Amino acid sequence: MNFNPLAFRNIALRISSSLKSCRDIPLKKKEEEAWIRTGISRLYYAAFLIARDKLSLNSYTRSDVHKLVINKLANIDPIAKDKLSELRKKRNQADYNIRERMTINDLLWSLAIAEDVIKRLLKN
Amino acid sequence: MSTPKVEFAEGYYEVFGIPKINALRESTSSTFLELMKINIYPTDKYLEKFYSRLREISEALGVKPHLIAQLETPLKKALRRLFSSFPRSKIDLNVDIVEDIEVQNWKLLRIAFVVESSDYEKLQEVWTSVSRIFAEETPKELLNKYYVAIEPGELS
Repeated sequence: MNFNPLAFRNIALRISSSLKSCRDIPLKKKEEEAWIRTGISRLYYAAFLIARDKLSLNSYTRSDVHKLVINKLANIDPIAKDKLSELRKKRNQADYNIRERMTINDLLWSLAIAEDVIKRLLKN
Repeated sequence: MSTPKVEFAEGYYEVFGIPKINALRESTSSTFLELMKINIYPTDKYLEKFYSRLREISEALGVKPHLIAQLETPLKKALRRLFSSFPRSKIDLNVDIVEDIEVQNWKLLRIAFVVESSDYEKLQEVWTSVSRIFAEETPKELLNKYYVAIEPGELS
């Protein structure tokens, strides 16, 4: 991999710590949720890209690659499959569902899920 | 001091039993609410409702009923694990179908345990063991049809 997907996790981490301390990111109150949603989305992609690489599916470019990765993960690490599935749900909510509000707690919980999935994937 | 007001979710059972509950309800103990939180468990009646909803939803997903029935044992084991780890927390069960917005025809049954806790580290740890219970106890052909999640519930 030329690009390290952990950089996406680091971006989310930076967003969450900045939101908690109100530093670093020039925050306008109305943009706070956009940062939160951005962080959640990047967290899914960090975990997904690491999983895709682990499963040697980097050259698979069809849009159903997300389903393929999660299905294949079910056979080698069902715990990571459960957590990545939930992270995808959060990501879809972050990127598409603008009716429901997302808060810093959604970002922190997504961060906890992503950290756990990434740790599992990198360990095995 | 007024008696703390407690509302019981339908289908929950109070281990203390009704007379004890009523006695506590009349008391002015500040620990009343805490006592109630420790002692609410989903009953068989509550679980039956949940199973029936699970079967209904699974049929919509095209999962055979005998496969769905095999989720009941891990579900009970998972609840025991959750209640031993979070004895003071309210735990709810949700089941729904998650349909992916970007991938056509990709639907998953989602079984979620909503735990009234904000201890994310512990929730992750328990989620890992709950997922393991399900993975060990369900047939392989079901693994791609459902997933198990834990959600931190809102703390009042």
